[in-house]
Amino acid sequence: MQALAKKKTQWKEDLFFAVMCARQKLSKYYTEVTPTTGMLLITAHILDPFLKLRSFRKWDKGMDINPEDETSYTTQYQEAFLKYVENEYCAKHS
Amino acid sequence: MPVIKSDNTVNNNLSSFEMACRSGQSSYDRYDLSSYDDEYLMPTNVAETTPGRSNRAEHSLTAARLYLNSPPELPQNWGQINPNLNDYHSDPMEISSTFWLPDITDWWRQQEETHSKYADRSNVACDIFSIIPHGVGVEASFSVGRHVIGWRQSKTTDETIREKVVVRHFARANRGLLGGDNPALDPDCTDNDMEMKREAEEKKLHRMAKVHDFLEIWQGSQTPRATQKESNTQNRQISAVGSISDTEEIVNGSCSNFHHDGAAAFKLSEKSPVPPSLSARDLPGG
Repeated sequence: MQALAKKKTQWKEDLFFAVMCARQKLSKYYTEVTPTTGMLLITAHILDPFLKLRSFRKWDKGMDINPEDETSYTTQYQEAFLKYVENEYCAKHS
Repeated sequence: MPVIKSDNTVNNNLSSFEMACRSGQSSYDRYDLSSYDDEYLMPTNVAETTPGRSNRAEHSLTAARLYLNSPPELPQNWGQINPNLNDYHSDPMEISSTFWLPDITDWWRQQEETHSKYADRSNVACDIFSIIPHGVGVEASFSVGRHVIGWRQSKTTDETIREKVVVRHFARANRGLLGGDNPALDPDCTDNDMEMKREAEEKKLHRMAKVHDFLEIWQGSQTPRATQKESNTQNRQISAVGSISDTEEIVNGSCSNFHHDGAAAFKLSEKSPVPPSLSARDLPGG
């Protein structure tokens, strides 16, 4: 995206504008994801071993939030994932 | 709910598990009975199997925390071969790590087969990644609007639709606790179903109305008949003076007054067979 932003050709500028609009729309939807409504998305994302919490840290970075804060996406989703695992899988063993 | 306050807490929780791993047990094997849980499985200590199970649950949760706190895997370090590399006909520009996504499910399957420290979490991955994004249930969620709004509703605002969807999903998640006896809150009852039920009830009511009209007409016809019966009874009482239809008079009438021989018949004038009430002086004009 950084390379595309520097381009001056018309069709590349249009493409950059389209991608930015798409990202803005997706960001609007993803900001409304909460552990109550989007637990499936959060769990699936964390279970990706090549990403884990990396994407959530990017979200926090984009919104100037410290990932270690309690209100950050990273902390909230991490706790939600642990609670989900504890309730759905660990509780069966106890 | 476990709250992770700092990394030190997590590390303290992980230290016991990591030490167990380093002390000879390379990976946590849930089927391995040689672990320290086997003392609880002895017949003399059958009642103490619960702590062992709780330890297992704790280990499972610890493994989840370990998974979260470890750095993400690098696709280059993983032994999966890029399938595009063997394709000589593909575009060389596409043979790059940017356009190649490693198979996540394969990674979890490998973790389970090798009994690695993340083997316990493979069942979570199996449950989550087995959900087909283009399955019927997922696709149906996109057409939830039609289920909420009937064909005859055209002025429902988006806020109302959102509230209805939220209430329905909440009721469904709580196993229809909101439903109760009210069909409008029943999560399984859509607006189309309610509309069909309403039409069926209207048809039934229409049929019942027809029956009601018939009953009214029948009752209307019965009322004059009853009035006529009452009047007939009154007439009978009035005509007790000597009506032919008055059975009492006939029954009460004595047959001894009749004589079947002709000679006696001619003597009727002396002794009239008519009842005394019909004597000449009682008759009108008599």
